[in-house]
Amino acid sequence: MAQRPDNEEAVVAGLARGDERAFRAVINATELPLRSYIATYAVDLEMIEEVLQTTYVVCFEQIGAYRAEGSLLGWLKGIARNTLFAELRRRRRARATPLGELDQWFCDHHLDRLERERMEDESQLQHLTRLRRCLGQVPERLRRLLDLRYRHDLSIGEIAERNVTTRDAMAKVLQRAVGRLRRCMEQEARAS
Amino acid sequence: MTADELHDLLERHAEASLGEADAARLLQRLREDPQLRERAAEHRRMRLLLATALGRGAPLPVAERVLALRAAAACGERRRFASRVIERSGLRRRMLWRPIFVVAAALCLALAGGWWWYAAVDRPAVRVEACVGRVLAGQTALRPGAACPPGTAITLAASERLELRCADTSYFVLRGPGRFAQQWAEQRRWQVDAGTLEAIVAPQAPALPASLVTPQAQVRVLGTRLTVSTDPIATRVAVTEGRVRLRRRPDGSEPRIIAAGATGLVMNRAAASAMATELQPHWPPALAAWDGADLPASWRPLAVHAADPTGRLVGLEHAAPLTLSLDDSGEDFRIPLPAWDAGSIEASWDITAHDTDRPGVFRDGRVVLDLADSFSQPAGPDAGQQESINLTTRQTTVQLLWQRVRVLPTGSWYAVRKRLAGVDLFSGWIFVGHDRMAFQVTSSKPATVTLTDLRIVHVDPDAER
Repeated sequence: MAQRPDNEEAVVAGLARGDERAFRAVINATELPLRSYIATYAVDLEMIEEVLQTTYVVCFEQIGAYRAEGSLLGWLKGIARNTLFAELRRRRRARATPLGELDQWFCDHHLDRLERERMEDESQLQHLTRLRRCLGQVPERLRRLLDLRYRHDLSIGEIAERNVTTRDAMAKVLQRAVGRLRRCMEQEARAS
Repeated sequence: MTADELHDLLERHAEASLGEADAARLLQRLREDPQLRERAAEHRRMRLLLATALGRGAPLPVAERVLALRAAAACGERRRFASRVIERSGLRRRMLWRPIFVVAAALCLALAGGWWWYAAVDRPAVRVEACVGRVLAGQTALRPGAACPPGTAITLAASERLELRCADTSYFVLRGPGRFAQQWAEQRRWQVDAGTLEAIVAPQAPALPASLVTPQAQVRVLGTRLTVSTDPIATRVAVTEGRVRLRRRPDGSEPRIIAAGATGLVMNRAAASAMATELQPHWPPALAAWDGADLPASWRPLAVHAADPTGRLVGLEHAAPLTLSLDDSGEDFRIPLPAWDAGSIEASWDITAHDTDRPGVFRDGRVVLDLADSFSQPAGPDAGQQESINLTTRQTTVQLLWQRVRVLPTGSWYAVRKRLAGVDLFSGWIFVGHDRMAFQVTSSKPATVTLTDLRIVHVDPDAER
């Protein structure tokens, strides 16, 4: 279940007054599940940051429109969803090259999924939490390789060179590592 | 298409190394095969989740970005990308200050004549306030109350100290070992050949400012309180109050203004001569280095690949030097430096090689700076070329300067700053000596600074020849 800010009513009142501490409390409580949700539909990291930032800006500006019938996280998720729609459509229009066509296809696909998704489905909010738990179980060496690939954005060739191996072998190692993480996340989801 | 093929194509696409033909083929298959579509979307989702979970995100936390946007929005700025907004609003503020600067400049000009007259009046010589040890001015031993003769070399041995008071209330503390000389009748110009000089300088006439000259630098005192220390390698100027103008000698490079709380560094042959390290006074600098001492219980080297690493990592202490012995080959350390309690700023240093021509002597090293969004400034000789990268494809659009330093010779300092939107987030110094290496880092905001991938690989000099 997604984390809720302590004393949500007070936090919302603080937000309405423009209280910075209230704003930080909201971000502390909601950033991880929101990131998780946005990452499910975004096409790249830039989009995640852009959508997340816009979501909080809208939250800041329109907190007066918030009605406490649902959760604050649910409201933020709705803002994020609308922002994702707008951002995916904007990106779709911007692609022109054959390589860009592939990205355009991803935008279409994510738009399609976003439209089909049920708003009440909260499973996407937990992906990052599960993934972090699973990463904690990965051996140090594998974690280091994942770090180089997905955090430092090194190419597979560069990582292979550092580890004195071939690109194909390194690609397989990374593919297996990602598969292992995916299975772990599925297990976590079933367990919860 | 097998899972392996799909994975390979998608990874190449993510690396932007997928050819057009392969991209078209992949696209065609995705259109035809719904199962493949799901797998491809899942692959991308995992990539993004992994990058996010492993901490690859925007350099500033989202809360800081949004609060900056909110502040900028109040000035009528557009809301996209906090960093841009911060930069632009900074420009706007400077424009508002322009008329004030004009008025201030006019006032300064009006006062200059008065100061000139004031400074031209003869004043008594500098007098000795206190003296620790047998300090000589030429051949004469100085005593408290005596006048300090101008133009005479003052020599101090180790642990000796001389305190001087001037008629205008300026105060100087000279520490040995060192060699100093007053070049004018008053305190206005000091020659510091070696040693440390602490100065509290009273306001000076703009036409006759106090200055200090060292073998590497010329320091013009614009403010009040500073410390200059010099040795054959470098001159360091730490400004406590006010500001100074630091110029490198002998080529008289572009001067830098060093403000209060900052340190300027001038090397013998350095291309970039000074670095300002803007610090909040309540964050102490952390100095990490290594020597042969035992590793504290809270510290351990990580990912040591070498079979016989004899250089032992000893850890980190705030404002306390530690050194790592570099007398043997082949360590690969991962060193987290938990300098402060929260945050996510990281520095990654990759020192890939060093040569030794004698056992136990560290001769030179190779440093590849690996800060994804940093501004670095070499303070050592043989600095590499500088290039500018505009990371528009990253999470934020920040104009960055990127520098790779290939060779870091013995006895040199290397300085690095991490900047975002014109703000120094942290700065680091790395020193490579004959038998030790030190890394010092300071931060202008709470941060956990992680030093990763510090790799020191022995290169047999015979094998290279």
